[in-house]
Amino acid sequence: MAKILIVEDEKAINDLLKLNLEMVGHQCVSAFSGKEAIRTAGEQGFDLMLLDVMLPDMEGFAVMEKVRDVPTIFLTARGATTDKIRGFGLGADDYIVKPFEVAELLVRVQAVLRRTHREETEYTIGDLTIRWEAHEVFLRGKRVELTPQEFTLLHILIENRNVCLSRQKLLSEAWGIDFLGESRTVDVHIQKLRRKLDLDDHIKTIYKNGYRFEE
Amino acid sequence: MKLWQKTYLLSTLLCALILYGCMFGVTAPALSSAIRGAQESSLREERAIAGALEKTMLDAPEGRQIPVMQAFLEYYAGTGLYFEARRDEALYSSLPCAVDKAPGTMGFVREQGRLYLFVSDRLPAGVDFLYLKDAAATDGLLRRQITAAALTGTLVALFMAAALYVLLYRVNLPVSRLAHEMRTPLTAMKGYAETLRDAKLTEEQRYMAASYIAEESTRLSDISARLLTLHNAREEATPFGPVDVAELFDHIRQTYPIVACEVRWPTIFGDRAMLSSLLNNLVDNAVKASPAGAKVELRAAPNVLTVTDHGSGMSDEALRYVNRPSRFKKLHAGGGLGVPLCHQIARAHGARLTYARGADGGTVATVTFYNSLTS
Repeated sequence: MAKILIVEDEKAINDLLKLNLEMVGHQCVSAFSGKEAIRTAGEQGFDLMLLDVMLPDMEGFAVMEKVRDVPTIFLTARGATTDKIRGFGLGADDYIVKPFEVAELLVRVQAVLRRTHREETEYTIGDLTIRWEAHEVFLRGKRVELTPQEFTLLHILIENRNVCLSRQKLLSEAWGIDFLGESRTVDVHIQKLRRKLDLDDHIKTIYKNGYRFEE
Repeated sequence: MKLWQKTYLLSTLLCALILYGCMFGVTAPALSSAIRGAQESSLREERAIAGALEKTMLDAPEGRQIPVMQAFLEYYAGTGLYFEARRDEALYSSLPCAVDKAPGTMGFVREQGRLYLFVSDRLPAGVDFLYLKDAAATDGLLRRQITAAALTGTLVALFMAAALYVLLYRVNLPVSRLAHEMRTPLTAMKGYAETLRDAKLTEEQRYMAASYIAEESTRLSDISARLLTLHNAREEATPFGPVDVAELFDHIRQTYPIVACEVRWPTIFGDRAMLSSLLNNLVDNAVKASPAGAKVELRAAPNVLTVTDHGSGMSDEALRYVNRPSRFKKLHAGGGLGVPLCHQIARAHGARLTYARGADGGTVATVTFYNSLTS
């Protein structure tokens, strides 16, 4: 669970980001202007900042210059490459072009948190404990062996908990974009995970869409 | 760089090229004929002087020819004319500087920054005769003419470039702004729809997401309507026809039931969609300005449409702004194109939109049709 600052002046989009990030277990603080963002970032520490480039009172880049030690993903409405170059020049970790896909956003957020080592190191649900860095899974205190593929799949499901991921999305995230597998592959691995870790109640099948990890 | 800016640069460049080309085409012949004129008059002068000199020398007694020639040429000192006569060695010279030109040539020579016109000749007596005229006055005149032409050209080009920029900016900006404005609702709608589809939401969250989608789609259809009307107003593309006022008013009353209508002008000649958008905008503003329960009056008298509200009215400054659409845009940058749009629609119908304070302090918006074709 990470603490994330959302800087976006449009309330609809700010709420959208907050809704989805809280869904997967992050703690969010909203700021609607550049000044508010700088003040909030000065008062509290954050693991990540989502920053709109076009703010009413100042450019997002100006905020990025002021708030230095927080990993930043900036949101840009223009597809302009100059924006991206400027953002990366200032040390941004990633960018998302509006309109974005929610699943895409969550994946990018997780990737940046992983890269900046600000993700959770351990996750516990019921009798199940997972140590991410050691790649170890314990069920009722007993270690369970998972194949690397199963582990990655579990990781992605839990990172995006409460959000449904399509089979296609799971394939591209867990097996890599070039993998020419069938969506049946995903089903098989999900069955194995459910059986090995007793996760029948948590990994839900969403009709016609995919799977969702529910807490 | 945006496409319209590229178009702008290209067309400005082209216009500037054509402009300078025209300036050159007009100036160059005038200048060259001035130069030719100066040369011809110098040549005539030189022929006259040389002829007179020859005659004087022939008339002079034997052995006195050279002093006579010197005396004759000395006569021109201080007139801006300089001469040199030589036969093997120099016989006479009043040149301000050394000039060495073959006999039978003429042209310009620049010495120590000063322009001279020379004619080099050979007299029958075997004397090489050089005529040199100070052409500083001609030089200055030519320079002034060239400078004036270049300056005028540059000024005209700058003015043209500025005018073109303003024109293209005005044509292109609102559309790009609207296109940009569409991004936000689109992002929100897409995002909430995906969230509704993919996430496990509480009833409250689901309600919030759905409300945002509804809200943002209203915003989107609003923008789309504005774009469409803007296009029509700008292009004046739609053919005008008779529009039934009563039907138009009925349509507005469906959206705003508190509007009281009065029709004393049955048909307007114009575009129905544009007029409907105009009235919608005016009534919408009036309803927003009205206190709860107050009536908004919509009247059609011959050649005049009025929308009256009984709200608290606008300040004098605000009134000034809404009556001048160009200034209004500056005041509410990005805050919608409602009022400027209304002005534009009115103009497209040969009408004028004015806002004034009503008798009870509310606002009266009046659209007056000046060249209406109605019966």
